[in-house]
Amino acid sequence: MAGLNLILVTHAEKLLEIECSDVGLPGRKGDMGILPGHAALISTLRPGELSYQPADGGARRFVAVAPGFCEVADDTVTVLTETAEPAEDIDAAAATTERDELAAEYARASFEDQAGLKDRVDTAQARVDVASRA
Amino acid sequence: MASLIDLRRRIRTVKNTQQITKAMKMVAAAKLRRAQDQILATRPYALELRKVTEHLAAVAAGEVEHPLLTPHEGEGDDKAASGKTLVLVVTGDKGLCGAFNAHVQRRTEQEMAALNGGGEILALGNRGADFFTHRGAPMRGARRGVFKDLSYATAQELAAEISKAYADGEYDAVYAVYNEFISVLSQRVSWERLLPIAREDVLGDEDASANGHRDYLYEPSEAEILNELLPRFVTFQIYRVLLESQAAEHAARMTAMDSATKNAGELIDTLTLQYNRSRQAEITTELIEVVSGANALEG
Repeated sequence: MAGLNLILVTHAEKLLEIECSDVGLPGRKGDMGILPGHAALISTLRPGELSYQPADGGARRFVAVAPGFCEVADDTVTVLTETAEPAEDIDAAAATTERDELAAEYARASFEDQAGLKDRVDTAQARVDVASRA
Repeated sequence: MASLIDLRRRIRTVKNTQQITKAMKMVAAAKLRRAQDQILATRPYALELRKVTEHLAAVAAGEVEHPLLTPHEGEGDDKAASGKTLVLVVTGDKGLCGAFNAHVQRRTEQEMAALNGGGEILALGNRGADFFTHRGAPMRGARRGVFKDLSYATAQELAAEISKAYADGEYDAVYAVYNEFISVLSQRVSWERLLPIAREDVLGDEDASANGHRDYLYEPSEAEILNELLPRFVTFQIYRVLLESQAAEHAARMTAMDSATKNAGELIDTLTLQYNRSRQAEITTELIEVVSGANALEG
């Protein structure tokens, strides 16, 4: 069976371009699993955990992503996001501190400000979750 | 003619200056390389962003309404025109880079005059901030030191502020004036509209994209995807403008410092020639004195 090509780009770099057998994406409306032969799809992504199974075997890999988009077409999954960090690169302790600080800020913020902070809190949470996978 | 000591002192001063300009040139070259890398690094994202928006264009272009796409015309239930335009002026934080800042300032003044008092400035970078504050130009605000540690977060914060002001109807349009990086030797002052987003810009040429049309599944819906996409598009535009300006600034400084170093070299040559001539003349005079003194004793 043909594999999937996963391309992960942020505004600062092309982080990944790798052959894999399946990709898990945090869609706005719920998690999605993409397998080879998936129908063409464009979706928004919420901050969360992107995972993929490298085609050359080995353990499943996890990446914390900020909000963004993905496009699936011709067995190529393109993910656009503002920040993305593989589990190995995240400092778990620092991520937890950051999450706690942001959560405290969120709790203090007014209703209008909370909307702007929501994604940042979620991104921080995603980093904590992903760090625990390393 | 200046005395020998004076000449020697001047040569030393010019040499010191030359050393400084040479060092500045080298620093600018290193920073330029980093800035260029940063620009290159955004290319894949820009490409993918364009691809996604073009796909959306085929299906959603006609029916999509978004506050950042809608011009304020004061008709129907559109927001009334406020008659004001926000001008984002991007200059450097420092001088000594040739006409880099002056070009942007001059262009801004021209455009402000054309807007007949309907313009307001948001200055990015110390030079522009100082210049326009001094002149008493109508300002929305100024950001200093943005280039000291330029990050995507800076662009995000700016985009949020600008988009909100636009959506609230404070401004009819938002433009950016900045130096575009063409090559190391040339920068071009650019006047670019950021808001409202031109439909063609974000959605591409409708006909062209319809050709490559494919049946996509959209999750959640086309409109909701665009709602998320447009603010990011604005952020990315601003980020790009900042990066361009940063690269252009380093390139301008490098060129300016290179010619300063060359000029200093020429000055040193001229002064050294003058110094040697004076020294020679002095020796000759002394010799003549000694010889004529000896002659007088003999005679």
